Amino acid sequence: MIDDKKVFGLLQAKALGCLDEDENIELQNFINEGFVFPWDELGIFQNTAALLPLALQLEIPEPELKDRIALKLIKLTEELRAKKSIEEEQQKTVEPEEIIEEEIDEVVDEFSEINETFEEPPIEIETDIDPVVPNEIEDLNTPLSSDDLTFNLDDIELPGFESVTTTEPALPQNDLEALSAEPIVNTLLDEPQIATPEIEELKVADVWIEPEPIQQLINTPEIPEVKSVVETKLVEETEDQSKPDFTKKSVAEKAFKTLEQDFDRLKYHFDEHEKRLSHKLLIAYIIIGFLAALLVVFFFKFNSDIESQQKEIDFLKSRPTSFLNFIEKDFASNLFS
Amino acid sequence: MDSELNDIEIIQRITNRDSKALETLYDRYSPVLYTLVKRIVTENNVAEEILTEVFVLIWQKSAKFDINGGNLYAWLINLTRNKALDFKRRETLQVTQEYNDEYEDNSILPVLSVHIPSNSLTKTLNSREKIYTAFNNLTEAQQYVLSLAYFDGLTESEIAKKLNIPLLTVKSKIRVALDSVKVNLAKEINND
Repeated sequence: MIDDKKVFGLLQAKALGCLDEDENIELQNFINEGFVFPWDELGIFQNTAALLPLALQLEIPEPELKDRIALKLIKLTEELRAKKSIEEEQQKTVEPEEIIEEEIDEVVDEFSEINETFEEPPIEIETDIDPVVPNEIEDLNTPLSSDDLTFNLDDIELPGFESVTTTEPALPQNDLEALSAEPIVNTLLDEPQIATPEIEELKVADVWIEPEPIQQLINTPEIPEVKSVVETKLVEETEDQSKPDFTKKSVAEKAFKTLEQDFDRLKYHFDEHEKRLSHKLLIAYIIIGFLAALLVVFFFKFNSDIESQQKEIDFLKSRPTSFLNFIEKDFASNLFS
Repeated sequence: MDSELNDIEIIQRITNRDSKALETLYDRYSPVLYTLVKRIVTENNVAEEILTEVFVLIWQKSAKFDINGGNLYAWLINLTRNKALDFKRRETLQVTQEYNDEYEDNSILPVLSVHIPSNSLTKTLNSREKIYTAFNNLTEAQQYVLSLAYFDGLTESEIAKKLNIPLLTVKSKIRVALDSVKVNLAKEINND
C-alpha cells in the first residue's frame, strides 16, 4: 500500500500520462479503496499538462480537412441509420412471430374453455363462440373513414389492418398483393386443433330458416323459451349480417377499393371545379359582351354628337357676323405681328 | 452558429446532435489539436487522418464529457493526445489490443479529475505568451523529459531506459518540471 506522500509524488506523472503500469495500478487501487485522494492537485496538474501543446508553434490544418470530416460524419450517420433500420426490421420479423404464437395460445385457451362448457345445448355454445373471434378481425369491420385514404400504397392504413400485419411477419409491406387476411385468420382459427367444428356447422340460418315449426309451436306452452332463443339467434344473425366479413376479403382488394374511392372523389372534385369554372367563364363572356355593346353604343352616340357639333360650327362660320371669324383673324394677326 | 458560445454550450449542442456546433468547435480547436497531433505523428496526412477520427469521436462520445464543472479544453487535448499516441503505438506494435468501443471508452477517452479547474481555449490563447515563458523557464533537461513524456508518450521507465539514467532521476525531473511550470504560470499570471 502506498502512502499519501508517495501519492502526491505520482500526481505529476499521472497528469502527464507517463506513469508506469504498476504504479498506475497502485494509484488506482488507492483510489478504489476509498482513501482521500488529492483530486484538486491532480486537476491542477492535468490542466497544466494540457497547456503544453500551446508552447508549440501552432499549425493550421488544410481547409479541405473540415469538409472531409463532415463527409465522414455524414457517411457514419447514414451507416448507423442503415444499421438501425436493419435491426428494426429484424425485430419486427421476430416480434410478430411471438405475437402469433401468443395469440394462438390465447385462442387455444379460449377454445379449451369452450370445450369444457360444451356439454350445454348447441345454441348456447354458439353464443359463447362470439368472443372467440379475435379482436383483430372484429376491428376490421370498422368502416373506412375518408380521411384515412391516401394515394400512397405504402401509407394506406386500414383500421385494424395494422394489428393484422403485425401478426404477419413474412410478408413484405409493399407487396400488397401478397397481403391477405385469410391466411392469418386461418392460422389463428385453424391451428388450434379443436374438436369443435360444430362452430361452423351451427349456422343461425338453420335455426330460423324453419319458421313453420316455430309457428306451430306458438300454440304450445313452451313457446316463450323457443322464441327467446330464436330471437337471440335472429339478433346475432342480423348483427353478423350487418358486419361485412372482411376476413374473407383480401387486403389488397380493400386497398384498391380505397384507391378507387379516392379516384372517384378526385374525379368528382375535378368535375365540380370544371363546372364552376365554365359558369364563371360564361358570366365573364356576358359581361364582356355587354361592355362591348355599351362601347359600340357610346361610339355611335359620340360620333353623332361630334357631327352635330361640327354642323353647328359650320353653320356659325357661314354667318358673316360670326364671332369665330373675328377670333381667327385676331389670332392670325397677333401671331405674325 | 454564433462563435460566442462558450465551450460547455458548444459541447452540449454537439451532444444534442447539432452539427453546426461541431463546426464551431472545429474552427476553434482544430489548430491546437492539429499542432498536437502533428507533433506526435509528424506526417501531415496521418495527422489529418487522426484529427478526423478525433472529431468523429467527439461527435459520437461528447455525452461522456462531464458538463458540470468539466474542462473541455483539457478533455479535448487529452483525447487527441491519447488518440495520436494510440495510433503511434499500434504502428510500432506496442499496442495489439483490439480497438473497439470498450477500449475507446477505457483508453482513449480521458479520465480527468472532477476538480479540474475550468479552462477554455480563448482563455489559454490569451495567456499563451505567459505559458510559453513558463515552459521556457525550465531547464533544457526538464523540457526534454517533459517532451518525451507528453509528446512521445513514453513512461518514466522508458524515458530512463532511453536516456540511460536512473528511474528516480526521471521521476524527480518530471515532478520538478511540472511543478515548475505550475509555479511559473502562477507567477506570470500574478505579475499581470
